[in-house]
Amino acid sequence: MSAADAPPGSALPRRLRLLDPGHLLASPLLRNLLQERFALRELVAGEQVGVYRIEREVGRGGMGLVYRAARADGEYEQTVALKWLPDSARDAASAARFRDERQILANLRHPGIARLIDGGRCIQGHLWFAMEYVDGAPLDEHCAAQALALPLRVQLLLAVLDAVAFAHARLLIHRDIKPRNVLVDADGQPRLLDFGIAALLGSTARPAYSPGFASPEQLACGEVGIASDIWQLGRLCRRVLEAGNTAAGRLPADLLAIVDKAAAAEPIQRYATVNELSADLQRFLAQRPVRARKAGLAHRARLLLRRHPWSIGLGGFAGFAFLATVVAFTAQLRRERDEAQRARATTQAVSDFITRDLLSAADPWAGGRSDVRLAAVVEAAVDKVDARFPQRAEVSGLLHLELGRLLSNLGRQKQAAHSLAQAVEELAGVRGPLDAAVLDARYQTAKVSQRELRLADVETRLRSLRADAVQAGNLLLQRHIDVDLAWNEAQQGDFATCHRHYLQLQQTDGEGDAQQQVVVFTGLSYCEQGLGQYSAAAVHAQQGWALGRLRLGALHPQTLDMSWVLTMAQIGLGQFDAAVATGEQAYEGTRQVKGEQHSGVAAVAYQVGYAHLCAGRPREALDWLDRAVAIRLAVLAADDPRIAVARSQRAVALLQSEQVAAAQADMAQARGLLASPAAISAVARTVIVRNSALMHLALQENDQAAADFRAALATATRIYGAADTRVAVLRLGLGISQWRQGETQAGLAAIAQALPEVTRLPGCQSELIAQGRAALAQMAVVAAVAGKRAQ
Amino acid sequence: MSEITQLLDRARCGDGDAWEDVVELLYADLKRLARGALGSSAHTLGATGLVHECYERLARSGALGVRDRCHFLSLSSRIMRQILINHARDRLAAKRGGGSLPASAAPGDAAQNLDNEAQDLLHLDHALRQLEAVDQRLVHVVECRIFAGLSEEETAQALDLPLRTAQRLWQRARDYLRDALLESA
Repeated sequence: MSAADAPPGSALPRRLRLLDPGHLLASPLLRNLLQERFALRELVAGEQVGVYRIEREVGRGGMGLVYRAARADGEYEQTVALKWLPDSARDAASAARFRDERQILANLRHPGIARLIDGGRCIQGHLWFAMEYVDGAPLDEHCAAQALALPLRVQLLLAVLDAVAFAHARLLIHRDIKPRNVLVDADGQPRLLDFGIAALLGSTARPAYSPGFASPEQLACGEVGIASDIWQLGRLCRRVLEAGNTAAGRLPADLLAIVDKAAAAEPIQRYATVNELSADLQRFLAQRPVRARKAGLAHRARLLLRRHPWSIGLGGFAGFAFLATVVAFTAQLRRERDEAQRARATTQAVSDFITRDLLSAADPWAGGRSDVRLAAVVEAAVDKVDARFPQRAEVSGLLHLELGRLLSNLGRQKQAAHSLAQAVEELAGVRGPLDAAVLDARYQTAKVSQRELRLADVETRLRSLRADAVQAGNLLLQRHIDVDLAWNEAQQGDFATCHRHYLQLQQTDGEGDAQQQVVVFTGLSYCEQGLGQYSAAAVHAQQGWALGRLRLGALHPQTLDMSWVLTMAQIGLGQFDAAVATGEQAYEGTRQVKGEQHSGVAAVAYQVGYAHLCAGRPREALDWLDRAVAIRLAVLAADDPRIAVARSQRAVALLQSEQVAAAQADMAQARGLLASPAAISAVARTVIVRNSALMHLALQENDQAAADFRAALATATRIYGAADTRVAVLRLGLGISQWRQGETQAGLAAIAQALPEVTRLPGCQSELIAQGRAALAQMAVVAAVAGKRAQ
Repeated sequence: MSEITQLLDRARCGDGDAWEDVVELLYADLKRLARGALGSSAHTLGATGLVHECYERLARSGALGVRDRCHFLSLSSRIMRQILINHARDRLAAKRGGGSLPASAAPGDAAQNLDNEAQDLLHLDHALRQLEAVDQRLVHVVECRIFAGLSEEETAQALDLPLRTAQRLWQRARDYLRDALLESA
């Protein structure tokens, strides 16, 4: 049954057509609906969007309307191309992504790319972007109007490719490359418009692709990646090369081969990267065999002869055959070499974008800034990379290495370890186990362990890695490992050994590497503090800090670490106010560079809190220790000893603020860890048990206090040596406990022996000292009374 | 398919992110639907807007209503019907009430054509509502085929019916609607 069966001349045939599938959706009514309900409201001259005043409409595209607009706030003169786009999804997640990606685009600076300047969303939901205004003709029209020769057109295209490659290296896909999006400016420089706008709109408003410029995968609504841009570039090349050329279709076979390869239907048949496409175009310009054309011998020979015209005529048939053989042979060699170089170029390009471009923005070690959102952006980028470089173990391995390094620096150790393990596996498979990148990945894995304080694991990894580094002759890595082994010794509380090693490292220090020098100063000062040599520690910390600020910058993570160690040295010297000042500065810098939620920030907060506590300001101490605990809880594993250390210290501060219940709760949590199987360094154990002892003592729980002091003494004596002040403090505490328990003689003897040692340095234990003195004084009174009686 | 099902399960358990993911996954279907509907020459800005409206209505209806991709497709079809019928009704109401038509209203013959089409559509809607009393499945098939432009196979998939059944229902619905439309003339 069809509409045609209905009587003619009435409304019926028309009405029955509704029953034909597809009729309604092609009807004017629907089009009318779309126009009225969903069409974009047009802007008129003088209207203002953001800080821009509309001047006139300059174009309409599939995505929206484009206006020329000028900055209207009088700040400075600026003409922009303002893109006015339809309503978009309004949920918070897409708004956040919009902001993030807009920021990335705003940072995309390349002479061949019109920059995104500003953008936003109006109350009505319309999105708008302000882009650099480029006054010029589309590339194809420009070439036609100027009747440019082919080599000049190829040169212009190479400039476009360079811009696209630059953006690809930052994981940005254009998605809508076409002649109208490449304008030639007044200087004759092609400028790419709308970079990333399509992606910025995300899946919520896919643009209408221009006829002839939608890649097969875009038409199929498939995954759109680099390959799609390369396809569009192929189309662009063809359009530009043929524009205004009456002899169209007579492009040189090599050029045709290149554009056909770029715009091949199957992504796998296209160039893998824009740089490969560029390289082929350059080969064309240099009249060398292009990759796109699996050229036969004759073609290669012809090219060779064209390049060296003088050799023609020497030949004759025998000469030509000889020449052809040589050509074939050398071409083969070159192809193999090119192949290897290309593979390297690919991996290098990918790795470069990770290290220098995209990720340096998030990597505190590379001079960038970090915050949580950036880390999220990076993690999203990881997924993109995985999707874009499948089945290429080497590329993937290098990416995983760099991402692992970065994630670790961002404090995401779990993800980092995962990424690095993949890197080792992939790279060792392709490049062999002793390759520098493999060793680097293993080294980074050890660093991850180090940051997680898995000290035994660190040592195992570093020692085995060092053997391989020696075998590979990698001196630099050896040195790095030696520094890290020393730091590991410090973390394990083996201060004498680490001190010796740092001194050796300082003497063999390679000149020039300021970062390494600061690292050594940091370790040296830390170990000296372990040994109780606070003056030397403070001097070295000051030296390292000065060096860091001068050579690395005040906000370099290593400089910041140095100021953290200086804070500790000042606490050791009893310069609590100086320590607070140094520490607050270090805190601000670290927070700024590493982000709020970073264990490095917590470490500094802890020291500032401790300095306040020592200076007798428990309220301020509490504030800082709260921060330290909160951050550590947020970023560290639940059984990480640093959480327990901070809790135990906060318990002391709480106690001094007379919040006994809270203090006991904190201490119970901290002590819970001591019983767990988690690996806890002797230093951490000592601090926790000492704090526990101090709390018991203050609460008059003398038996438990004595037991704790004894336990702390055992570990502290081992790591600090019997002569250390910190050990003397514990002996003083034990003495007071014993005295209170009624072991008067032993207690008093211990107090009398420890007091002079404890008071030798203006330490942190004024309370304990006062109690010890009181005990001795009381004893003196008792003795005097007894003496009088005896008389 | 299994991914969507899992996500839907989570969405039903109150996981808002899962719902977002579902919509994200199915959104492409909607777009395809709109794009297919509009053909290559259509007003593309509008196509996006149309899909948005579908999406927003669906999102407002909440996760509980959507079982799986099939159900989603059939829901979209119903939403398309709703949107189109509303538009037709608004258009005729504005004309009757003497209210001014939007500035983009077509002049002359074109306007008349649009009115006729709107009128026809309301007739169809009326017939569909009667058909609902006969067999709901008939209406669903019509929605898929006419309002969402789905093929026979897609319709069968959307309604979770064997292809033969979908074809049979479509035939029945068409016969019924043809008679109803002839009658109303």
